[in-house]
Amino acid sequence: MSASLGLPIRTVLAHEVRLALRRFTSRSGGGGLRNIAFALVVAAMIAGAHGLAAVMMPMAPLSHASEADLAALAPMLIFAGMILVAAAIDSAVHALHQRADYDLLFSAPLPPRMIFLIRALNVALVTFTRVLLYSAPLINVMVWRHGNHFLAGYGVLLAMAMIATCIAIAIILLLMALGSTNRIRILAQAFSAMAALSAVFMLQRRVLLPVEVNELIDAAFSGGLPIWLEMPTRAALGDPGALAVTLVAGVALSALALSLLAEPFVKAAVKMAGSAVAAPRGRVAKGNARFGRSPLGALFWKERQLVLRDPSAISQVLMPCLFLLPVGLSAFQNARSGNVDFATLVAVVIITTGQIAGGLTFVAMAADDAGDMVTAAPVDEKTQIRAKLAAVASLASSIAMVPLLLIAWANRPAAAIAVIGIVLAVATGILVNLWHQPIDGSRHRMRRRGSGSAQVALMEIAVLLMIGLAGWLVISGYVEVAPVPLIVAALLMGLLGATRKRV
Amino acid sequence: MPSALSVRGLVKRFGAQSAVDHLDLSIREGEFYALLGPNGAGKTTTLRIVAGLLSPDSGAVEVFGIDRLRDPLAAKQVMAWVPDEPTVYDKLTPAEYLAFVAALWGIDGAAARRRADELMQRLELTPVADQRCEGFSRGMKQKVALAGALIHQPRLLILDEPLTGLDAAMARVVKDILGECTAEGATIILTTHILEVAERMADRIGIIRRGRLVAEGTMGELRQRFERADGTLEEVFLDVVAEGQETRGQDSDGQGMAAA
Repeated sequence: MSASLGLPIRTVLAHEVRLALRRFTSRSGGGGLRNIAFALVVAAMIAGAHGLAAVMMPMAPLSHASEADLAALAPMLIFAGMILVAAAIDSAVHALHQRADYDLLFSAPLPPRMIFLIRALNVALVTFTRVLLYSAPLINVMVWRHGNHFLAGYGVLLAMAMIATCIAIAIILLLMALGSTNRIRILAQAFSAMAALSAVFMLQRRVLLPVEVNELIDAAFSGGLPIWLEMPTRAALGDPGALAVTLVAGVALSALALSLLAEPFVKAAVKMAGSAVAAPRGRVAKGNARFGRSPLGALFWKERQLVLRDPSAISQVLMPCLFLLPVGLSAFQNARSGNVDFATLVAVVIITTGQIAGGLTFVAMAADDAGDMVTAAPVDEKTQIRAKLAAVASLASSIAMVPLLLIAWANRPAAAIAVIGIVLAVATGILVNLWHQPIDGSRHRMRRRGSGSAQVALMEIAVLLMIGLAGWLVISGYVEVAPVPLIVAALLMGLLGATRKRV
Repeated sequence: MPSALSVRGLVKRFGAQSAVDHLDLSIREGEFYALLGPNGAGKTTTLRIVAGLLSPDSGAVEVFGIDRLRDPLAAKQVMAWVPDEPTVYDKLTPAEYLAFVAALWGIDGAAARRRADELMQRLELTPVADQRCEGFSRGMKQKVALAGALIHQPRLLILDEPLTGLDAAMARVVKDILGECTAEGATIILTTHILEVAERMADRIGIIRRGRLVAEGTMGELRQRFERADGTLEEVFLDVVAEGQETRGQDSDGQGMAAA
């Protein structure tokens, strides 16, 4: 590499790192109190994750020579692998599609392959960091209980993140070959949701799947683990030789895959950059123009239409619903034995509805293509916000209605608790996003970015978890302790309300 | 002639930078007024304050005698704003967009439909009336935004660079429509960098520099003031800008001397 090329490459590397960091931090734009609230929530979540890991992880020391320990850890590694692929797909779509900076980068005197390698490295690092959020507590607990050799888990994750990045890029290239570039984010979102779902199935397969299917899977693993799974599993259990093999294999496979994928990736990036300029031909919506509505009615209609006609907004908002599937399947399995877990079902419905309401509020409030025109109209701001929130509440309630009716059909007291929880969750989702999500200007920009503030999402989920937990406690019969999570939720909301940026 | 817009002592600062600096402006009813100025002079900020999109730090704005700051909704009822970047909803069709805008201004359904059909025909939007705006070019979106501004027949129409992105034929149609609006009694304030348009269409021209109105009058009056008997507006404009640069040079010389 010539000296003259070194500086631009270092610049692009620094640019990538800066963008990745800012994606997580700068969009919050919070002040002192808000950052304290965020730090408190994160600290509580980290402590909670470590506590949960301490409960989940075995007390007895694990051995990389024991077949039983290998068989126990292998499904968890597959789970981590699925999560890594899902996270890598999301990061790769962002790097490939949402930055819209290829015109600038490709016009610079840099080899396109080098840009690809830097971007792939960025995807791998972002993926690794995201998966650390789930995995670090498990690894830390093992290190704390059984010794430093379990730090090898981090090395295994890094090797897996590199391979997951290559798989993710290959999947995106395949999806691009099959579908339109304009729908790539939705396809990738669906694919990453499916990967995450399969991970949930893997982890909960004994509960979710029929006995016969479980027996088939057990039979598949009975003859010992395949080598591609055995090495990382032994490495995660602290075998230094296996760790070396895993890392070398990870680096070698990634290098090979990246060299093969570089050319198609560059072509795809050029195609993607082009697709941002050449907008699709607008679809026909004949006869929908209804004149003579009231201002409030017109605003309400407009908000509903904008969400319903925007597949990327719908996919972003409805993605949490996919995670209802394992719970639904589990409830169905239990119903066959006459033992439905209504407490968990209601908690999940409450949390999911809150997330949907939050997502819809973000879509409705964060961006408006014609915000100036609406502001210049003779309609006061309260009416505008009321119309948006009414549209959000109506859409979220319609989605929650199906599981709610099914619960009401089988268990009316549980349905009553669910209704109260849903009302609280919808209010939470709306208020947190109303108070704290940044305004983006236009929906087009928001669609390209595809997500809101990570801090806001964390705070929202923390409060929703508390409301869901309260519902779970009441239905499970622990009514006397149910106010505790509700008080925590109220305190968090108070803190978020006190630090709100806007209404 | 009564005043359509009266701006007195308007001030708007963004941090330490003054965007509008004690601006006084008076525009008569039925007048076509062109507000010109170099980039960053404060034109758009001034118009955004008038349209109700920004709050001033101090000063008064009256639209047809209505205090814009005290009674913003009544003032907005008689105004329309067309920004330089066309703002329409990608997921709505032009017909739906016009129905939505008409509803915000409380226009009766039948009258709004009639007016929408008329405007879409005039602006050659009828063939795409039921097609979502997401595939439209900038010029097409500009036409939809303009139709939205005209559907409620505003008494004061504020246009920020309305001809950007339009081809020559459509620019002509838009100019004709604006001419008809003033003929029917509407007042128009327009900013543009196409000085020929201002020269040909405006009754009066105001030139703003660093947030202050530095020159104002009919084309004849401006020529006379800047001693350019047969000069174009471009020449007058460049004189005003040059005068500003000289003043700034003198200011900085003065500061330099004071510092010395």
